[in-house]
Amino acid sequence: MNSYQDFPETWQRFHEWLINITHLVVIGLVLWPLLFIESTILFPFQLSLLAALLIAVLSSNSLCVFLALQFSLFFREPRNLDVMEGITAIAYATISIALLMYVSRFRLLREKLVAKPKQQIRIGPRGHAIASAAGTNSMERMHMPSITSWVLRQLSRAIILAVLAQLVIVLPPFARNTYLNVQRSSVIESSIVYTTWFWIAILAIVIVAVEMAWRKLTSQQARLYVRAVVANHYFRDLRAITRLRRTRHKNRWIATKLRSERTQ
Amino acid sequence: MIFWTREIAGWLLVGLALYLIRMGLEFLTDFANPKIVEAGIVMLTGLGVLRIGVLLIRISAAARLCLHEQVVPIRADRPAGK
Repeated sequence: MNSYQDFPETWQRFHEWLINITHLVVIGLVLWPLLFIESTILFPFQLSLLAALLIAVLSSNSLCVFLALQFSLFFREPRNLDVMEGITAIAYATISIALLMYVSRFRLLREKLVAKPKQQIRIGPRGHAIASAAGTNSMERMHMPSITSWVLRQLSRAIILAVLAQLVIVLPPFARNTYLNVQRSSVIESSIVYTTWFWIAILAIVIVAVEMAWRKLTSQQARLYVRAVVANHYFRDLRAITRLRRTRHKNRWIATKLRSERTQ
Repeated sequence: MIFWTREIAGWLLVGLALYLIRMGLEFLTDFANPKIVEAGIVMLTGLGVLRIGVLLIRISAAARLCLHEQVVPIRADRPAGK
């Protein structure tokens, strides 16, 4: 019994189900303290919210997790300004960003982890003997470095982003500690009011510039845009079909990529 | 003419959207009585109006280009003096 396909289908399904559940439990355990630390929300409500987020994670929808983290920060921060400072804040930001990165690549990474034991079983003891005789472990050569390097790369990116975010966030005038002082200073308050006008003016200028650039369309581009808008507004069914095709194409691309990685 | 009407309507909507966004920012910068939830609602509305306005402007510009392309070859096909 050297091939994964030789195993009963129920066992294969159980194995994939087990991996999914393990992933979701780990994500849930990380997400829970991030969202509900010092929270007064009722426990059943916390559970249902977490379940909804995990369902979103299954479809690699990191936007839901991102919004949940933002909401949690938004409602928690004014209550206690000294909850997260220094290393704690960097750790929080690092874990949050790493989690978001993981969730956004959840399906691809899960496929890789599901494929790993399959490959191990397919190679079998004989394959390992050949590999060890050759002085290399073929299974490790195929999967472990790619997964480990991916995780290390993402983790280092998360840490760099978290440190950068910390550096940016302490810059005045919106630093958390200086915010209360800003409230008392009428001069700074008026400058903030002028700043809003400044941003509105910038937005208006950008809109005008973009719309002026829009007029330089060629007739082919204009026709294409009009057709796209008409299809978008009046032919929703066509849009749904295109979306479905795009999703299928993406899934096929992921499967091809994984297959090519395995064969390399 | 219909395209110009749409374009003017689009610019008016963009103006309205900028006003709404400004109102939302005003809610946020009112330190004595900050209205954070209201600001969010107003900002979202403003962004929706902005999107519709930009869409109207773009459609009218693109449709005018398409119409121009249709009209110009017809005129070019006509013999001179007619």
